Amino acid sequence: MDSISALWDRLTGRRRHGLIAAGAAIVAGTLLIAVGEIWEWGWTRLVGAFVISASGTLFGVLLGWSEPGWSRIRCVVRRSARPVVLVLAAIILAPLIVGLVVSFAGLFGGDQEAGVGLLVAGSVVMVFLLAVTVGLAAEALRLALRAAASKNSPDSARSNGKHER
Amino acid sequence: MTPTREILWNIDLTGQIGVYAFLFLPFVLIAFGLARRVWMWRTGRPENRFDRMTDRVWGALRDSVMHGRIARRSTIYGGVMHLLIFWGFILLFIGTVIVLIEHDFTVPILGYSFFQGSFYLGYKAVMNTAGLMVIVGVLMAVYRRYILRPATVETAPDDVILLALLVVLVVQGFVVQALRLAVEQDPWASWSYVSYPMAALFQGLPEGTIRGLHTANWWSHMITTNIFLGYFAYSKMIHPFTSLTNVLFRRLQPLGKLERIRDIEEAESLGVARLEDFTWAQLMNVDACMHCGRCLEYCPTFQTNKPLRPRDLVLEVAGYMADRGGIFSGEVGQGAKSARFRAGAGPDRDLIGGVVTQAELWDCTTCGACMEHCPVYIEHVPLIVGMRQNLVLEQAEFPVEVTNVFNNMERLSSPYQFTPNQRTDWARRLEQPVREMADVAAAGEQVEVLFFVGCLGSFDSRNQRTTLALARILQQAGVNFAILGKEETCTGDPAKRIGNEYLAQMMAEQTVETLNQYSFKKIVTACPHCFNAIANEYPEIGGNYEVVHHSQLINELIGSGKIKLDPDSDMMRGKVTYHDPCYLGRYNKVYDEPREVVEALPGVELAEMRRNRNRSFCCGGGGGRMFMEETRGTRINQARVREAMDTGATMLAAACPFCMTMFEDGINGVGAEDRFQVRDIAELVYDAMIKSPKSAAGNGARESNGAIEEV
Repeated sequence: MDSISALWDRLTGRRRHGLIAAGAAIVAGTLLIAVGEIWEWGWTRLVGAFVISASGTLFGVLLGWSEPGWSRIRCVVRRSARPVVLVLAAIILAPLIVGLVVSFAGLFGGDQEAGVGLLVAGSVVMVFLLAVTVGLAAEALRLALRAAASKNSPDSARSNGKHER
Repeated sequence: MTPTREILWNIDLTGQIGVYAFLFLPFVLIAFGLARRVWMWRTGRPENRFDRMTDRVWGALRDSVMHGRIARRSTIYGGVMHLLIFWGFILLFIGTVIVLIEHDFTVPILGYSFFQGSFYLGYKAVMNTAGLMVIVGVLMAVYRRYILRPATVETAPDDVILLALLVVLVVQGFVVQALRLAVEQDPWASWSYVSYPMAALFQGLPEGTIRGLHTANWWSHMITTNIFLGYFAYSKMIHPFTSLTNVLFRRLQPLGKLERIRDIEEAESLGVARLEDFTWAQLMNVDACMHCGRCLEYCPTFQTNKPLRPRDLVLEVAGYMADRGGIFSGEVGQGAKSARFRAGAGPDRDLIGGVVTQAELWDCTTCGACMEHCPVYIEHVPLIVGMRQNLVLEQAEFPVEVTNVFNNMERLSSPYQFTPNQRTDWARRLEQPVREMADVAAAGEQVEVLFFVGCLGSFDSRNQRTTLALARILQQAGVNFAILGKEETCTGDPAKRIGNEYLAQMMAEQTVETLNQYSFKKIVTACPHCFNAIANEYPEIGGNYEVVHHSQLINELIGSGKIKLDPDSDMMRGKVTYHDPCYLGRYNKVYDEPREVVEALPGVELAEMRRNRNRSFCCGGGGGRMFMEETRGTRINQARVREAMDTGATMLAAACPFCMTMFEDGINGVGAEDRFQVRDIAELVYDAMIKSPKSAAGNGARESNGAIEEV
C-alpha cells in the first residue's frame, strides 16, 4: 500500500484529477447499467459500457503516460505473483474441470434419452477437451509457479556487469 | 419455431450488470500497458515513418492480417498454426461483438432482432468451427514446442500460459453452450456440432445441477476473458498491436541502405550507447518481437553456435526497455541457456556490456537473413551497426584486426596495404589495354559502361582473376567500357558495416565526387558490396547512377548474342552449385540472372543448395567479418562449403569477391582442395565462350582446363 500511496503522491495534480474523474465515470457507468437493468431500460447497457470502457482507457493512459516509479509497483506485483497465480488458476479451472468430469455422470443419469452414438461422440469430445485442458493448464501452472518462485527474480538482479554465456 | 437463443440465459441480475462493470479492468490494464510502451518508444530519437501511408497500410494488411510474411513456403507449419489461432480467435471475437450488437443495440434501441433464423444457425456453425480452429492451432503449437522442438524455438512460461488461456477460453465456451443446450434442448442444436454431443452427456444430470454448472462456468469464462485481456499488454500477446504498428511503420527504403549519421561533425554523441540513442522506430522494433525464432533459421551466427542470436539480442533490448519503463513484457524466468531468459535483469545496466555483449555485436555478418525472414519487419542489422558505431567512434573498442583496415582506408583509400597506383596492375595482363576514365574524358569521349573494379578485384590475386575474366568478356562482347584506375576508392562499405561511419562517409563522398566527374551510362561491378553501396546509399549524397552487377550484364550479353558460348568448350562439365551473395540476393533481390548465366553454360547442370535465394546462408565475410578473426563457434564458410558439396557438385559458382575469399579459405579448411573448387561466374563464362582469334592467341592465359591462371 505504501508503494501505491507513494506513487499517487508523485503524480501531478492535473493527472490526479484526471484519474479521479475517470474513476468516477467508471462508477457512474456501472450505476447507469445497474439502474437500467433494474428498470429494464435496454439502452443503458450500450451507453454504460461505452462510458466504462472509455473511462477505463483514459484511466490506463493517464497512468501509463506518467513516470512516478513504476518499477516499485512491478516489484510489489512480482512479490505477490505466487498467490495471485494460484487464486486465478482456481477461479479459471475449477468450474471447467468439474463440469467436464461431472458430465460423465450424465451417461448413467436416469433422464438420459440420447442415443448411444451421440453419447459416444460426446464422451470422446469430453475426454479430448478434458485431456487438452488439464494437460496444458497443468504445464502452464507449473511454469508460472516456477517463474514466480525464481530466486534470481529479475528485480533482484541489479547486475551492471557483462553477463556471460 | 424460429431458431435463436436467449442472450445471457440463466444469468441473474448480478451477472448481467457484472459483465459490463468488469469491463473497466481489461481496458485500464490494456491502456496502461500500451501507453507505457508508446511512452518508452517516444524516448527514442525522431525519425519520419509517416510517409507513403497508402503503401504502409496496404503492407500492414497484406503482411499481418493476410499473413503474407507469416505463412511462407519455408515456414508452412508455423504459418498454418498461426493462421488457425489468429483467424479462429478473430472469428470468436467477431461472434462476441455480434451478440453485443444484438443484445445492446439493435434490440433495445432499434427494436430489431437479427440474431435468429438461418443467420443464427450459420453463426452457431461458424463459432464452433472457430473454436476448433483455435484448439487445433494450439495443439500444433504444443506439438512443435514439446515434440518437434526445433532449435530456433524456446519455450517459456509466457508461451504456455497463453496457449493454456486460449484453450481454456474456448473449452469454457463449448461447455457453457453445451450446458445451455442440455436444458433448452433446441431442435437446431446439432448446428453447434461440437457442443451438441457434449450436451447429450449433460442431459443425464438433474436440471438444477446443469444450471449450477452453467452459472459457475459462465462466471469463470467471463473472469478468464478479463484476465486474458488484462494479460494482453504484458505478455507476447501484445504482438497483434506491436507487430501491426511495426509493419505499418516499417522502413520503406531499400533493405541494403544503412542510415547515415547526419551532420556527423556536429553530433554530440555517435552511435547507440543508451536506449535514447535509438530512434523511436527502433524501440518499437524491439517491442514487436513475438519470439518466433525465424530470424535464427538462416542466421549464420546462430547456426554456427556463436553468441549472437538476433532474436535474443532484440529481446534483451526489449527486456531492458521494459525494466526501464517499469512494465512486464512476458518475462520468462532465469538461468536458461538463452539470453532471452535473462530479460528483466534490472534497469540499472549499461546497454553495451550490461544488456548486449560486445561479442554479440561483433559476430554479426550483416547478411540480413534475420530481417528478410522476420514476419514483422524487425531491423536487426541497423540496431547492431548503431551500437558498433558507438564502440568504434566513441569508445575506440573494436577487434584489433580491423585497425589496419581503418588505417589503410584513411591513407590509401582501400582496406589493403596497396597504393592507388597499384590498382591497375591487374590490367597489364590483358591482351588489349583497358581505358581509364580520365583518359576517356581527356579525349572528349564517353563510355557506355564504367567498370567499378572494387578493392578485392583490384588487389587480391584470386579476385584479380575474376576481374580479368570480366574485362575480357566485355572486350570480347565489344562493350565500350573504362575503369577509374588509380582514381577508384573504396565505397566505404566495410567501414560502414564495422561501425566507422566517419570513415565510411569520407570514402563514399570521395567516390561520388570521382564518379560525378565522368560521363557514362551505367556502372558494372563484380562486387555486390560496391553494388549495394552505389545503388542504395549513394543517391542520398548526390550519386545517382544506374548500376548493374556483372551477372546481370553477362546475362544480358548472352541473351543478346554478344557472347556466344561454345558447346564444345573444354571447361568443366557436370554439376555446379550457385551461392547467393547476401548483398546481391537478399539486399538487392538479384536471384535469377546469375542462375540463368550458370544454366546457360554448356554441359553444366545447376544444383541448388538446401538454403538458396532469399534463404541463402552467408559466407561469413560481410559486415567487415572478412577482416576479423572468427574465434567463436564453428566456421561459417566451412558450413557453407559443406552444404555446397552436399549437392554433389564439384564447383561452386560465386558472384562476390568476399564470398570467393571466404570459400577459398573454407575449401582449404575442410580439406577439399582436390575435389571441390570455387570460381566466379565471369570466369566460368569466359572459359566457355567462343573467343575471337585475337584474344585467344598470346593472351598469356593457360586455358586448357578452363582456368585463367596467373601469368
